[in-house]
Amino acid sequence: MRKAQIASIDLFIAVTIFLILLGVVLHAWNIYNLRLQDNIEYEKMQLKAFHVSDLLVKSPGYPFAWEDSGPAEVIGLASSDRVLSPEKVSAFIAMDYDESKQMLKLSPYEYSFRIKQLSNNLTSSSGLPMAGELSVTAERYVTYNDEKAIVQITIWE
Amino acid sequence: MSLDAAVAVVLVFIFIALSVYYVGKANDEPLSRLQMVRAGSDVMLLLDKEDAFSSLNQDEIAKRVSAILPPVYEMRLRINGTFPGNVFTVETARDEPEGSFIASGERLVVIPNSTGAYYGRARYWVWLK
Repeated sequence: MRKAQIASIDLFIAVTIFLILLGVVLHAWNIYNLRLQDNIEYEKMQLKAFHVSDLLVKSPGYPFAWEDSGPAEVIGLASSDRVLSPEKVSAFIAMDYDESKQMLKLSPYEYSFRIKQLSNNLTSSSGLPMAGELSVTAERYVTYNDEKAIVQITIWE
Repeated sequence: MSLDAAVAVVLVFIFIALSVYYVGKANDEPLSRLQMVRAGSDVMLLLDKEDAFSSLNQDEIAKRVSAILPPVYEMRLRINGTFPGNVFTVETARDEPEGSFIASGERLVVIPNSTGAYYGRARYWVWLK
């Protein structure tokens, strides 16, 4: 075999290996890019879920007696820290879904809200049933109607 | 020349593998960690509100902790205070696991007694079973 032929076979092998490696790296890059985007979206949803859960279970809302005095500027369900007021919960559940979503600044996501007993029996719920692909649920432990309860906020898109 | 290339390729792959490992580790279930931190804080507040610490009885407090704590978690609780004995430890688990995430926090507690009140600092640790 002549030198020129050997050199071109070497080149061919080197280019093939290079292209395979380039393909692998690009594929991995693409996968990680997609994962990163999903993670960013997921983390945004997590933060929203925990911010909303904090707001609902720790704050009474504004004005303080928004459930009696008319439209709330800020929704909160607590009569004191992590003790839910049944009146505020009833008013929240009776609210229009879109209005409550807007007040909780949850767009573009959807949400569902549930209060369960520790035994998992559902006590109250509002919002839309989960119908998305990506969802996050935040659970908080509270006192509701003088009993321990779990508040669940699920956010999805 | 080819040895240089081989060493360079090996180094690049080690670098890529380490990057992938640490990126993966950094994203290791962040939600469950946030949830754990919040669960610990919520459980402590509920216990405090129902005066669960006033008995200063380790078994009773451990029972109450187990009744509230989600079954996927373990919790250890230590109270230091002005009460006799000064240190009081409640454990629903023997030891914290090594190498996995442990959420911890602290809450100042007032424990009423017949002569007034004890003042304590409750530290807690929560982790996944």
